[in-house]
Amino acid sequence: MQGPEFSRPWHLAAHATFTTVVDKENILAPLYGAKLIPNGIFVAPDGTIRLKWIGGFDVAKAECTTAIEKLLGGDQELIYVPSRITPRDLPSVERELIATKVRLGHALLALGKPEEAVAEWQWALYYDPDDLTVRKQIWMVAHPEKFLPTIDWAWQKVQIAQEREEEARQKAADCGPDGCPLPR
Amino acid sequence: MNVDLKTGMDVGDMHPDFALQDLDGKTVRLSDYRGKNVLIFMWGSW
Repeated sequence: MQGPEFSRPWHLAAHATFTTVVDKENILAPLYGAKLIPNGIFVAPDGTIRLKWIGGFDVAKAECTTAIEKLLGGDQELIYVPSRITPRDLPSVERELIATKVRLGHALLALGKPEEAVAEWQWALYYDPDDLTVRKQIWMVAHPEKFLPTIDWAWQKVQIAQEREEEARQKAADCGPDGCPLPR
Repeated sequence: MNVDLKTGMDVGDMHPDFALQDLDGKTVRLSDYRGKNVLIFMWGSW
């Protein structure tokens, strides 16, 4: 559920004059430590990141456009607006493993293996349930009718509450004094 | 590319180059825009 065929209608509807690229392998989210979208990253002419706005970035918001206009005007400020989701304190090896699992899932999806893709993403989600980019990707594959032709936001709210409740119950049941078992 | 996966790159860091395909399948690199201001808007339809 990704790729040019899904992105193009949005690009056309917005009458976009900018370049739209598709991040099929989820390269950018780990670079920014992003667990949700939309995000804004401003890169100055010399390649320096001058703004990193994780979650809630919207060009319809005055606070976002004001920040961008300042930078376009040559302001040398560094602007960081962090995500409202605090990153979990996971060991770096687990973070790298999660990133690899997410990329593997995208590769499997591209090969026409959605069930295997979801399994890899579930694995990543087990370690980092706050990662909405992964959770929503799973939903998109498992429940496409909730996204096409329109996005059912009310369903998403109910779904995430149910899933988080079930995940907490499952972890409490699985984990003991020595830790938690691997998901598979 | 060496990036802290917990927080990602910081403001003030040099953005590493990357290559992705546009809607027509053409490869687009960040370095294609060196010398220009670039706003990367990361978005999904869900």
